Amino acid sequence: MTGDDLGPLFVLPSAPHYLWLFGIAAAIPAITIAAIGVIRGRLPAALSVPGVILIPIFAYLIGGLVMLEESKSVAFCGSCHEPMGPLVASLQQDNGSLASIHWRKGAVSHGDACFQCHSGYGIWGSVGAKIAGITHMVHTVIGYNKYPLQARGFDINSCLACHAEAVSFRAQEAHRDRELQQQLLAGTIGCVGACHPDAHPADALMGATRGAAR
Amino acid sequence: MRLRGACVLVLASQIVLVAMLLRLTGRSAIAFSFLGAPMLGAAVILVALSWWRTKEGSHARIDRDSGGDRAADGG
Repeated sequence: MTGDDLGPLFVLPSAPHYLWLFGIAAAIPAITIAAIGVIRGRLPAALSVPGVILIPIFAYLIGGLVMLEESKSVAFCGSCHEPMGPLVASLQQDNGSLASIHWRKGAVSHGDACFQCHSGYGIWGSVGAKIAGITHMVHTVIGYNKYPLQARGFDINSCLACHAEAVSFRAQEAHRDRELQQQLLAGTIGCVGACHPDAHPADALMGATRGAAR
Repeated sequence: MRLRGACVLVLASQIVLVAMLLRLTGRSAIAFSFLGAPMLGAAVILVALSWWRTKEGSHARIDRDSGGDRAADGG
């Protein structure tokens, strides 16, 4: 059931971005000048460098910014049917996975839940998440996805950014154990597995086609 | 010919860009990154080559003309 079905109280105010309009506005003169160049085979000297180099590059830079910003959305992550579709679909199911628990409690924004958990703390966390996203795109293009998908080196700062200051988190005896803290910070153990449920259900890690076949 | 090729590449790259801006999905983002950006890069190289060749040609013409003038003066 979506927020729209429940009434206006459950619909979050939208924060529209207009940067993409600037990209379109820059692309239109670039397309016009390039079309003139294609038809006539030559361009006036004053138009050739701005029209074929500067304006298209400017439009592309804006496009890159739009992509960086908008690719944080859950809808963007889920748009790649293989392998992300099942993972995004499993968020809404009551399957006991950490992702599902956070989603259903509203502990993460339904707009950019994937980015919130998969980016570390601070600006370098965002940079790391973007690099991981580009790697995912390369894997999709070359068809390199090993199933079941494996989480490699999950940054526990993603968890601590929200939980470290929570009273209930600090009150847990296990979290106060110094040896455990050292192991967690060294990355020898993670939050999930022994102590907390897996981040995503096993069948969602099998990809769209394999998961459906099971 | 080079400029026309560059314009075709720019046109294609901008169409990919507009498609991505209008509907951002994984597919359009991949096309933008791995198809559009290399096409734009190739277009920039073609324009630079075209500009460089034109400049080289005009320099050679000036050198030839000034050489001819000198020969005419000397003769």
